[in-house]
Amino acid sequence: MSRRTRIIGPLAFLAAIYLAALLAGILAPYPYAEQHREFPFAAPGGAFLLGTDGFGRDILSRLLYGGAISLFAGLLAAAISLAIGLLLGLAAGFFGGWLDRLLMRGGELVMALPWLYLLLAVRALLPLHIGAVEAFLLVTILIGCMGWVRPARLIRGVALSGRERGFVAAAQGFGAGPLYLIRRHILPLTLGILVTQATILIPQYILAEVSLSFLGLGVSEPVPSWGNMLAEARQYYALVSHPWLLAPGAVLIPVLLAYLVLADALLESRPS
Amino acid sequence: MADNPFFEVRRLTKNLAGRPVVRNVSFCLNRGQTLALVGLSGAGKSTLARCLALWDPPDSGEVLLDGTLPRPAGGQIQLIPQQPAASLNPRFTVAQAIEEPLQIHHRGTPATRRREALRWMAIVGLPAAAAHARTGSLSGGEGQRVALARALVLEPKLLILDESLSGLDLSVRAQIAALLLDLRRERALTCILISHDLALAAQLADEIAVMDEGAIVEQAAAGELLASPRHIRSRELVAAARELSLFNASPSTVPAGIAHAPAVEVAHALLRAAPALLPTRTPPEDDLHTSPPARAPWAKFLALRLLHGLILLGVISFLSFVLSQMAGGDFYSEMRNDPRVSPATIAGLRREAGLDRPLLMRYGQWIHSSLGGDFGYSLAYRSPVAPLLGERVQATLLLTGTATLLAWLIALPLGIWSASHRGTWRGGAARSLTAIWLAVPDLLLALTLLALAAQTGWFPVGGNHLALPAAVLVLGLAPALVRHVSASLGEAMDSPFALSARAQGIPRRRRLYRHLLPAAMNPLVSLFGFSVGTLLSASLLVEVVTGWPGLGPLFVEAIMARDFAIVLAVVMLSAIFLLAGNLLADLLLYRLDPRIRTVDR
Repeated sequence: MSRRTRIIGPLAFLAAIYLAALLAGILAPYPYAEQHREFPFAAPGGAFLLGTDGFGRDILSRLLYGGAISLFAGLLAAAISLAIGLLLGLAAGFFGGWLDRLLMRGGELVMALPWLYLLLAVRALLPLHIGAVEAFLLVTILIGCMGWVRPARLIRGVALSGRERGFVAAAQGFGAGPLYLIRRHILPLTLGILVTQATILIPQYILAEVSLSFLGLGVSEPVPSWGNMLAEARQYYALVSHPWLLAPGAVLIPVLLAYLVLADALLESRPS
Repeated sequence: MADNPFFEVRRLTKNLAGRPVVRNVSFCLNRGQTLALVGLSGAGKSTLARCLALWDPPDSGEVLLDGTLPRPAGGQIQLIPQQPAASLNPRFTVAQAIEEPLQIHHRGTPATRRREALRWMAIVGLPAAAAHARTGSLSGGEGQRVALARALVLEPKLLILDESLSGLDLSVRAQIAALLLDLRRERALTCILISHDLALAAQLADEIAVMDEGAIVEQAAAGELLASPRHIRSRELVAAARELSLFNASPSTVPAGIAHAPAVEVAHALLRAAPALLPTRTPPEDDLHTSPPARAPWAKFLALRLLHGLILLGVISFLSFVLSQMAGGDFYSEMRNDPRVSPATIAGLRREAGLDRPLLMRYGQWIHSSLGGDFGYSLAYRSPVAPLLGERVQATLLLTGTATLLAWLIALPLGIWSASHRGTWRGGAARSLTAIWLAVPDLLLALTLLALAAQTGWFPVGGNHLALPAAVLVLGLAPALVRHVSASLGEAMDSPFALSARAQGIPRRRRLYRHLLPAAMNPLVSLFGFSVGTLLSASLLVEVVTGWPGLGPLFVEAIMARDFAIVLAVVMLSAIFLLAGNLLADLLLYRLDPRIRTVDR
């Protein structure tokens, strides 16, 4: 496969999935929390295309709404990580000195934190039962705060070498201030790193949200997330007799794979 | 004119890295004149240029323009640095590049700036059609013209060209020189031309100043200096250039009988090769910075890393302790809702547990007792934390240790196989399979294997059987490892030494084990350290799903019960493991790779 197809293909697939999740309100046949108590664990087909869960809730509908939660948690968290990474990386690389040392030491600290544990611990500090929106935002922000170190380091490197470029010195000679230099000359250099880092971070963060919700520490019932939907498949007897409960997994894997292929193809063009 | 010079430099001195690079330079320049500063490389010309253009502040002395001190970056003095093409951002278009100085100085509107840019493009001889070309796609001569237009667009009073014309081929250089002469004539441009090229200086300048070791050793009108150089350095330059002119060009086209162009560069080579001619010189600046890196002895390296890790641990412990104390409630606050327990009883219980003392004191106590092996008392389990943890840590280590070992044992041969089958269809298929496999999260692996086990009875389900959780972990770890092994090995295979080893006919197997694997070792060793570091934390989810009685389920239960003694202890334990894993990787790398053995501050 050419590099082009390996970029366009996953992008098209991801666009379709995100669009479907975004349009959950239109596409979903039922409200996500509507219970059809008379049809618990209904097999796929008929009125329920992907079957129902133990409360008789339509899995397709929950999958769509849950996708909106899990997928956009990944996007938002990645945006947070990249924003922090960009800000700190640019500052450290461009201004150097004690600021650089402070930020890089801080980065080492963050890297040495056992994040899954800390994430859970911080979550533990807050009331266990909070609203779905608060839980979503909280989990997303927490996840976003853990992964900024790598992008920050890469961007710092670019800023550091960008500072030494002739055109930056020339613009400085014309009287350009630091903000102008960063905006016009350094920032465009970081674009490639931002894109590739996003394709690496987003799937990790989707998975993080899924894991947290699976453990009951993320988005809570009745609001669906791919993680808390999978939690229902935890009882293996349920799983054996009702394999359609694994539906979120069946979507999750191709999504993760698409990001993986995309990141691979993007990285290929920039041999370091 | 002499008592009121247009541009004056007074006793300018500049040190770099404590060494004087420009010494006590003074000269004057009248309006419309061009002065050439010539000298060998390392004579301090470029440093002087940066000071004259106010890019760098001098250590002493001053620069006066029209009798006043010019403002830095005020646009009155413009410097075109060495290799002008590098001073253009390749993403900018030609018009954007020329507009940039105007934009930085907030002059005009976008429309007037664009008009100015087009006007200057015409003046320096660039076609208007080039306005939208990226500067990255320009030839050397075109880049020169853009750099010139950029420098002139602010209408500076003084233009400094630092070796701007070296590195161009002869015909382009002649064109740019002609352009400069035109500009001088038409715009009464005052110029300082910095060059090691005496011929070019003679062609363009009214006066020539010869620099040596940071000082001007002779300054005279161009013709005069060429005809009767007085200082030894000037004589060398003139003589060398003249001598070389015999090889080169017809003397009639050359001003003052001096050969054009790169001949002078050859003269430098000759000058350098004739030490008798040259007084002892201080080494060029570069040599001072490239002394071999200091090597840290083994013990010092270890001590530094340990210290670093301990500091990190201290910070982490403090942060997590403070966080845990800031929590909305503790174990006792859940009792409030119980009508049988009075608030006074709760307060008493709290005091007993030491929860009412100041934060720093509690932190100190916690650290002190933790160091003594006492991690506090679990209120939920009604038992000291230490023995509770001990049991669970053992279980987790048994699981992750087994799984990590197995995963490496599987991944190494698979990775080697995959790397040595690159480019074949089998290699491609293996790569794709690994990618798909990599996209399957542990969580789903665990759920699926659990279902499979329940259905087929291949694995014992639940309870204390190692097989199922270990299988999940191995399957989860292996693809990432395979990819890493294959990628590092692939990189080693592409390196020049591998190609030459192949060309020498070293057999495949020997190449692999003696050359490629050792070369691919570094990233793998780091990875190994990392996988040791995650021994405590990698299996959390898998343990919870499969019911393995390790740290994972304990941790999740502790969170649900708000039992912070356990939460804190687990966080600290896994942080220690992470740091220890990093340390292990560092030490292994230190042993394996001498390049690492530098002190990094």
